[in-house]
Formats: sequence, C-alpha cells, structure tokens
Amino acid sequence: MTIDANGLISAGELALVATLARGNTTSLAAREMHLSPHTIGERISILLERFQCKNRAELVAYFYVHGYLSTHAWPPMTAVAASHAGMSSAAARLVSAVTPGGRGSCEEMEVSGMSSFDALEALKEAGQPIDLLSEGQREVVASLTEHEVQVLLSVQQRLRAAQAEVEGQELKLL
Amino acid sequence: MAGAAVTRDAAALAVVLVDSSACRELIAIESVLVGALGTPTVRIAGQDLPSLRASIEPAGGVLDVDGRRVRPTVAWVRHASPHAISASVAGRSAARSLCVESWSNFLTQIAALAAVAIPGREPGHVAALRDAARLGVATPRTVVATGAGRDSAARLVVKALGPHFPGPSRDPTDGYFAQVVDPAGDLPEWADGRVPVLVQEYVEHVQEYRVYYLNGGVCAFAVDKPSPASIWTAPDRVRVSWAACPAGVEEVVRTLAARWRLTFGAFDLLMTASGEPVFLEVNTDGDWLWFEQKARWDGVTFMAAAMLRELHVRVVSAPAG
Repeated sequence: MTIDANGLISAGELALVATLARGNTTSLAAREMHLSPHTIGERISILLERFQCKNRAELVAYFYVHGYLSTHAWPPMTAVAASHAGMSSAAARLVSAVTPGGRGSCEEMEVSGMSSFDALEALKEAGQPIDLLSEGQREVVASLTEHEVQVLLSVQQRLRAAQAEVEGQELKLL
Repeated sequence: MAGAAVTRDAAALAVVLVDSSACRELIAIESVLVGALGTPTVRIAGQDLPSLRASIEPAGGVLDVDGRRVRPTVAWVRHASPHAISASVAGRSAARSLCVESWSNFLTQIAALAAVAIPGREPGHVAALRDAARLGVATPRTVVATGAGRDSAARLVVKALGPHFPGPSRDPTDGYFAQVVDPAGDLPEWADGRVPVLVQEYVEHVQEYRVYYLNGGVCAFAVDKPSPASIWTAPDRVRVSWAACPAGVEEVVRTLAARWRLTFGAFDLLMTASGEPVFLEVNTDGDWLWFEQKARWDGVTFMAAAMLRELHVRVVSAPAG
C-alpha cells in the first residue's frame, strides 16, 4: 500500500483531514474552514475514493500512518504545521510536494484553516454575474481557491476567443 | 485499502452532459467544469453516436461511455429527440429508424440514472400557455388549428407547432419560422391548412426579453429584432444586450419554472408599454452562446457551470441511501 503524495494531496485537503482528526463533524469542519458543508462533504468523499478508505476514521488513520498528520502534536495537526511549530516530524519533506508555488504559505493556510482570498469578489471584479446566482450556487463558487478562480477566468477567456466560431443561432434540430 | 492507482469496479460520480445537436453550449460548460472547477464530467455529442460504445446498468445506476464507468450525479440531456438525432445517423433504411429511435431512448434514459436531471420536462406550447394563464400570467390570445383562416383584422403571429423546423433546403433562410402576418396579409404557405399551427395575436410591446432560468439563477437579455425569424434569417439585424431582468419578468419566470419543475429554461417574454410582462414560450433546450456572443457577455455559461457544480456537490455530499 503506497501512495505518492506528490500532487495527490493539497494543503487544503491536509487541513481538512486534520480537522476530522480533531473530531469535527462536517458542520464544524465547514465552520472552521469557512466552506459550506456541501463542499466539505464532497471533498471528504473525494478523499475517501482517492485513498480507497471506507470511512473517515480509516482516512484519518491512513494519514497518520503515512506521516501526513503529526504524531507529536495535540490537538491533531498536519505534519507540516507541526514542523513549522517546531515539533519533530518526518513529514516536513512533504511541504514542497503539497504546496504548489505561488499559492501562499502552507503553514498559514493550515494554522488559520483558510486563506483570505475572496472568490466571489474576485469573480465579480472579473465581470462574472455573481449576484445573479442562487444562494446555493454562490456558496459553492465562494469555496473556490485563488488558483481555481484564475483557471476559471482563463478558461472563460479561451471560450470567449472561441466564440468567434459561433457563426449564428443554431437551428435547434440541425 | 489499496493504493491510489488501483482501479476498482465501482463507478465514479460524475456530471453527464448530452447534446446530440451541433450546439456548443455543453462543450463550453465542460471546459469550465473540468478545467476550472475540478468536476468529473462525461460528455456525449451527436457526432460520437455512430461509433460510441455505451451501456446503461439500470440496477446499479451506472453509465459506461467508451469504457469510462460513471454514476451520474447530474445529467443534462439536450436535443435527444429522434428528429435531432437523425442528423447524426446516416442512411435511409428501416435500420436507420431503429438506430435513431434507439439512440434517442438511450440518451433520454441517461437522465433517469442521475439524482438530478436537467432541464426537466418541457411543457409544450399548449400546456405552457394554459398553465401560465391559470397562474395569472398574461399570454397572447392563441389558437392552435389547421386551416387557420383570417377571421379577424388583427395583426397575427403564426408559429409552427414545435421547434423551429428548417425548411426543405435546410437553408436557415428557408425555415418554418414564426412569422408576423399583417391584417391584409396572407398566412405563410406552410400554414396553408395541411398542418396544425399556432396562431397568436400580435402583442405590441416596448421590449422583448430572452431570460435564462438556471435552477434559481436568473439572467436576461434584451432582444431587438425586425421579425420573429430574424435570429435565423437576418442575424446581423438583431441586437442583443445584457439586461437587468425586470422584477415582473423575473417573477413570471420563477413562477413558471417552479410550476413545471424546471432546472433550466430559456424563456421568451414581452414587456408592454403598461409594464406588464407577457409570456410567449419556454424552450428547455434553449441555446445561449449566440446571445452571449451578440451581447458580448458570457455570464450564462458561467451560471450554468455554477449550477452544475452546485448540484453535483449537493448530490455527492448527501448522505448515502
């Protein structure tokens, strides 16, 4: 059973499992990470699927066994956060693997449980119709990371360029 | 527990997009969902059908598309009628009819696998107008009839009773499109009595709106066109701009979408000089890229992607069972 952490686990996902290790429910994790319960639930489902774990307990155990969570810190925290806090950890080497360049400090994200990035404001400034979305849709969009928003806007830009190819209203049945 | 690279029989949860027409709306959405929102997505296009290897396992709710096994969280099926699919299937034999009908049924049934199906069931012209009137929404006086004669001196609008059929030449300028008939004018040839057509009073208005309903999200375009068919026959003469949806129009759209349990719909409405919204029709397969391009505002694609993302997240995070 070997998992290559490189590219498989993001800083946000590590922080999420750490909150689960602290015994938080979906609602509490959502509150702590300033995300919606829907988003938290989905991210947990994705992690369970990715690591082939049956439930959250097994997921937390897996993260401990593989050094992603510190065995030297209480309450539970990620190995990276523990390392930055001066605690011994064999997993500090994972820092570079889980924090892509330019996305801010992993330590900051994990200690606070969130970044200060405001996805809704960023998308609004870029001209996206945030105010026209339903509340639930806004909530999901609000959970996007800065990186995801950048990619979204980039995709939108590419689509705009491609729209020149849409020559006319398509006949519905053609 | 196995490593991440280990495959298992279980199908992944994914959004499924189906469009058998040449429309590109769902291609754009797929780009946003996969490229930016990290949402697993499978898309089936009309041109894929002749060579597509696909299966549905009803009991397990599993869809297999060219070896990719998924359990649809949300399925958006557009243009899956036999007529729409016929453009993707060659030949003239009875086997072709079987092929067209079978694919139409297959694509339509994908919606049954998903926890959420978009757009919901289109009510049809007659039911839509009847429901709207019952709910107190203004509609044009309408009759659906064969041999619709001129028994009034009013200005009329004549529409085919269904989608906007292309004409025999498949030339967009030769289609059976809605047409305004002046008091002294004749009905179009295709409405000569051999087929039932929809005849409505012409409603004087100060503005026409195309409004998109996206599961709670609402956005609108103001449309100015010389005739109902101009979108197809003279697109350069059609002006489209993003518009703040008037409260009365939005209320009508939300009311009707709720009545028909639609998750998506493209509504056409008129605003009269007295400020009364008049409902014309709803198209649950309504396109939007052309309107976006005209208006230079691509918010509908963004809103549609956000809608799918939200529905997918809601399904994935819902308690099992």
